[in-house]
Formats: sequence, C-alpha cells, structure tokens
Amino acid sequence: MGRASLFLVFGLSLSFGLIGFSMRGSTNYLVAAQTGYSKYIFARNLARMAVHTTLRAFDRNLETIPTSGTFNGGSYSAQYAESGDTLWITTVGHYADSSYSMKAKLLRTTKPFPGVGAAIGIRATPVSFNMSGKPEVDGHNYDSSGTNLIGSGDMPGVTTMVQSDSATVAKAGSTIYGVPPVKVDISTIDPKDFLDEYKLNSDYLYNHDGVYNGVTWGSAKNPAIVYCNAGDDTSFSIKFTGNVVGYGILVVRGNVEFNGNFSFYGLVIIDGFNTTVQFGAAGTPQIVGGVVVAGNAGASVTLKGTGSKAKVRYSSIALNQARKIGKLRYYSIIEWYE
Amino acid sequence: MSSFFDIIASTIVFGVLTLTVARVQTNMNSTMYENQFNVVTQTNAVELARQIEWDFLKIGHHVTGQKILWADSTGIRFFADLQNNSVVNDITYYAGDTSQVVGIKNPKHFPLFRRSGVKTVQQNWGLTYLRITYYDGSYQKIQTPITTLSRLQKIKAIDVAFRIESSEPVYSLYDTTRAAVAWEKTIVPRNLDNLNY
Repeated sequence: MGRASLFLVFGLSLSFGLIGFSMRGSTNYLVAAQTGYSKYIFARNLARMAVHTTLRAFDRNLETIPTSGTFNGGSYSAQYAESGDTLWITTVGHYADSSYSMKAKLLRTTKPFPGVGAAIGIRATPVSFNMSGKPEVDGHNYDSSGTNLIGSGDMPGVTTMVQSDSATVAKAGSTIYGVPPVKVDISTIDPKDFLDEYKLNSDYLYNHDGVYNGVTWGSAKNPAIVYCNAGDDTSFSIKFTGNVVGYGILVVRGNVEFNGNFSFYGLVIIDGFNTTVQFGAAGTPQIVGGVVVAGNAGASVTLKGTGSKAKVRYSSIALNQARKIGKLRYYSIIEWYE
Repeated sequence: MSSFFDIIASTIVFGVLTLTVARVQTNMNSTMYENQFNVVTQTNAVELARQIEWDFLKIGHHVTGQKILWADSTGIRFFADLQNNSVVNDITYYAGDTSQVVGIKNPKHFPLFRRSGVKTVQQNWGLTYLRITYYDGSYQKIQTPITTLSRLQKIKAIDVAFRIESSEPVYSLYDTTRAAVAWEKTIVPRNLDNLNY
C-alpha cells in the first residue's frame, strides 16, 4: 500500500510538472512575440531619433555632426552625405537583438523670408524722411562685410510704397545711392506675418524698452534671431549705443535709435504703429544687408551722423546668410525608405 | 471490522483525490487552451501589424505620378518600391467575406487578400474587424471610397485598425468567449509629398 502511494504521488508530480512546463513554454512564446515587436518598435524609434539628431545638428551649425549615440539602453548610428541643398541620411537603430534602418533623401530649404529689394525698403505710408550730416544709404551690392562691391545685383537705395513718398525721400538727401537711388516698389513684403515665428525662435529676446551696448548676437557662421519688443511708444524705446555686433535677423517692434559702434549683418525689420528709425550723429552705426521699415500708420526715418562709414549698405550675401538661420530651416522629403 | 473501515475510508479519500485531480486537470486544460489561443492571436496580430507597417510606410517610394490608385474602408491599392531596388510594386489589400473561410468555428472570421502584381495571397489571420481610414494634410478625415485622383492625392496619413479572434472558443465548444487582440495605428507614409521635417 505504501509503495503504491509513493508511485501515485510520483505520477501525479510528474503530470503536474509536464503540464506546468507546457504552460510555461506557451507563455514564454507569447512573451517572446510581444517583446519582439516591442524591440522592433524601439529600434525604429531610435533610427528615427538618429534622423532628428542629425538634422538638429545641421540646424545648430555644429562643426562635427554626431554619427552615433545611445538612448535608454539602445543605440543608433547615422551617416550622411550632402550635395548642394540635397542631403542623404542613413540611420540604423539598435535595441537588444533588433535593428531598424532608415534611408532618407531630403531637400534642405528655409522658411519664407521677407527679403528686401533695397538698402532700406519702406512699407508704410506716409513717410517722413530726414537726412543731415554725412549719413549714407547705398543700394549697390556689397559683400557680407559691407566692404567691397560685388559688381552685380545692385538694388535701389530706398524704396517706398507711393510716388509722393519717393519724392519726399529723394528730396531729403544726396547721399542715397543705388540703382536707382529711390524707387517705388510695392512688392516689399509686409513682415508682420513672420514676426511671431521670429519671436518664438528668437535667440535673444528683449521684451522691454532700454539702452543696449556691449553685446554680440551670433556670428557669421551661426547667425541669430534677435527680437526687441519696445511696443508702440512714440518716444525712443530701444536704443543701441556702443559695441553692438550682430548677425542674422534683428526685429524691432516699435521705435529704434542706432548710435555708436553698432554693426549688424543681415536683415533688420522695424515694425510698429508709427515707426521712427533714427541713426544718431554719434559713432559709426552700420547695417550691412537690408532694412525693412513697416508701420500701420506711416514711418519716420531720420539719418544723421558725421561718421565716414555708410549707415546702410545693401548686401545680398549678408541677407542670404541671415536666411540660413538653422531654426528657420526645414527639410522636404524627396525619398524615404524604411 | 477495523479493516472494513480502512477500506471505506481509503476509497473515499481515493475518490476525493481523483475528483480533485480531474478538476485540476480540467482547469489546467482550459488555461492551456486560453494560453494557446492567446499565443496564436497575439502572434498573428504582431505579424499582421508588421506586414502592414512594412508595406504602408513605403507607399509612393520611387513612384512618379499617382501613388495610391484607390482607397476604401477595407482595402487599398498603391504603388511602392518595397525592396528599394527601383522596381515599383503594385500592391493591393482587400478584405474577403466570411464565406471564404472554411473549417473554422468562428463565424465572424474573414480573410485578408494581399495582391502583389498578379499574385494574390489569401491570408487567414483570424480577422473579425478591419477598418482603414484616410486623412489629409490637415488631419481631416477623407470619406471613403476614394477614387478620384484629386481626392487620392489628398491622402497623407492612413489609420489601420483590426481585431483578431481565436478560431475556437476558449472554454468549451458551446462557449462564445474567444481570445482576441485589437490593434490600431496611424501610419504616415513619408513619400506622399508635402511632408516636411
């Protein structure tokens, strides 16, 4: 009887063991199927992350574009090639024993840009324009430093919206140069549609009026967006004095006064209710690129100064550099394989 | 007398033990069936999901001209270079009806057909529900069926939802409870133009 009981217990144990082993096997298979899919998804996300990482590195104008990285237990690698505006990226995401590859061909381009077809493009009317001393507005096309003429692509010195304003500008001074010096051009784009985006992406944001000096905004290789919001105050709200150097896009909402050693290379947008732009007599402020003056109820531009440098010089190269600000760049997909 | 009571008692104990083992065996069998059905449905769901992602993410790759030829709530036809070898494949997905599945105890099962060129494959994943929804660039739903070129060109994203059920009931032949898996994903094929990064 005792021996029979032992056999019975052994038999039962063996049966339960077999059943448990079988159930465990099917559960393991189920888990393997689910985790396999999970690993595949994770590897894909890492490959996509590699695309994003590479593009953001381009946007930030990094000297070295990273070719690999790790994230949350996984890793990715990225290789790229470029020719003109076309960019090829191949990325591979690795997670556990899964890997996922992506191959993309992209067209690099920039968001619409309110270019200016003159040294100063005025998109407001009526215009009050005054010049005294030796200020200079030159629509001839200079290099990015504003030193040497390119020899082609010359533009007007000042453009206005209506003939009467052009007459006002032409009468104001003889140191406006360009082809022609003053012209009516209604194609100057109203920059207001771009301002919110510039504010959102600004590298330097001044949300109050004030006097600014001794600052550097960006560089020729890495231009920046500077946003000064002075409001619609009729007094001079934003004033730049000595040693201010900037590259990229400078937006001033309200009135502005440029004085001292102020140099900006790129696009300057001055927008406001009744905008007043004044280049002071002191120092040698200069803008190389172009200036758009816009206002809902006219604009007042006053140029003074005894300095020897030009106050505003048109430069298509400086404008083009400003256009290539990384934050304003986007990529159109030509081909994508994954 | 004592031996008689021993026999009676041991018989009762044996009966109780036998009934217990039988009950345990029944429960284990049910659990095993349930597990097995879960394995089958979930594995099928994963495989079908991967197949759909593999195909749909490539819609329009290396295709010049029309990329999606027609689109309906249970089917789609499109061009894509699936192997990235500059050979464009003509792919069609469409759902069959329940009468096309034989020998299966789930009356709601219908097959999925995948045609590549002229070769059509009937896939019996255990589908009981399939819905394909199309969205334009503003993520507005486009009413199906979509047949005109202008409306087909508006498709920028495709949402696929399906449900897979086990062919047999989980607990007994007369039971209606079946193991089931639902999957849904919005796929944005990168080659459908106007996509910026």
